Amino acid sequence: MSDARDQPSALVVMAPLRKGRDEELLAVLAAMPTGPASPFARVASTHFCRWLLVPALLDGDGEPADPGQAYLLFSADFDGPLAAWSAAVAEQIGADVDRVFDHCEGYPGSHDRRAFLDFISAYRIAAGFSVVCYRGTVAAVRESLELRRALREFAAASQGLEPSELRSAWKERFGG
Amino acid sequence: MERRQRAQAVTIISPVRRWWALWLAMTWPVADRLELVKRPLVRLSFIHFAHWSLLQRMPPAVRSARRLPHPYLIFQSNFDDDLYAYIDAFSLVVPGRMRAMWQGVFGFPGPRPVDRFLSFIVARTTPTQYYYCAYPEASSTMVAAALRLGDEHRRFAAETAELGDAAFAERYADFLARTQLLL
Repeated sequence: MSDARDQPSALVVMAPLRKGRDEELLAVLAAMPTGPASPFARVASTHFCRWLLVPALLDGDGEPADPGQAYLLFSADFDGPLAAWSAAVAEQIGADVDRVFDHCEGYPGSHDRRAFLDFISAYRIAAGFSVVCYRGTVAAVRESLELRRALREFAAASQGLEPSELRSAWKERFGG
Repeated sequence: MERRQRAQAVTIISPVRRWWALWLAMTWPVADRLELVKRPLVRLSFIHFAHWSLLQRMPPAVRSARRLPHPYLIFQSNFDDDLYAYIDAFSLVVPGRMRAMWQGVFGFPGPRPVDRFLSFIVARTTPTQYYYCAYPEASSTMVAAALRLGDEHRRFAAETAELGDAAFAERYADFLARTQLLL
């Protein structure tokens, strides 16, 4: 379990795509719901994630270093350790991530949690240098943003109240 | 009303010279622990989370795996609003740190002039096909302010729990003055 002020974990995964799957993969990603309807909204510890198709790794002259080999890059920032997060992903949205990772060579599927974690771990690229501008779990961030909104509204609405009215309005809104 | 998504993703994958990859692999473990190194980047205030990684073999985490013809520097960031403003700030505010990251990348023109640096970045950016953010309405500054405000609020609530109305009103005025910039 992660503390409310722990630094989120970073995950970068890059895996070779099966030959000729580019178009199909792009169609799957384009069809995946976004915003609050995103599958990742069901994995409550996820701050950010992205998927992108890397058509080729380039050499120093800007030419494909390994012609014909495309990759899938997935990255995420989440609360807690990788094992717990990947288990939650497999359990909550396994079918959704399978539809994407199925286009990668050697992907075992998420039904076998151990094999799913092993795949992610093998294709994981360690983050070497990170800049993290705030520390807080997704839950702590959301609660704080909601509190900020409430405090701002309260400050505007409570102007000119007598001390007893102010105290009682505060108690009603924030308790204590 | 539709909520505007503030956070955006950028991903840049660049081949680097092998000696540069060695330099990064040696310096990152120290630099990543030093707040002094990170502070100017944090102060740019429109980054949520950004990461630099090195890809040297495939599969990346298997030590016996095939070594790629070049090492690759992978930069990915979750930032607010506008890529051009982001890169502009990198170029103007932290040029030394940009050199320390990208100097050994093939074709790196240096962080200044900014137009050249921007062209370099844009040409190497891989488009994002799918992006998710758990709190799309909030900028990095808003999140950082909200978390600090949460701390201030908890402190205020604890300190005023037993006070009378007049003393509470006085402390509330102090609280508002102290947290004005966070609201």
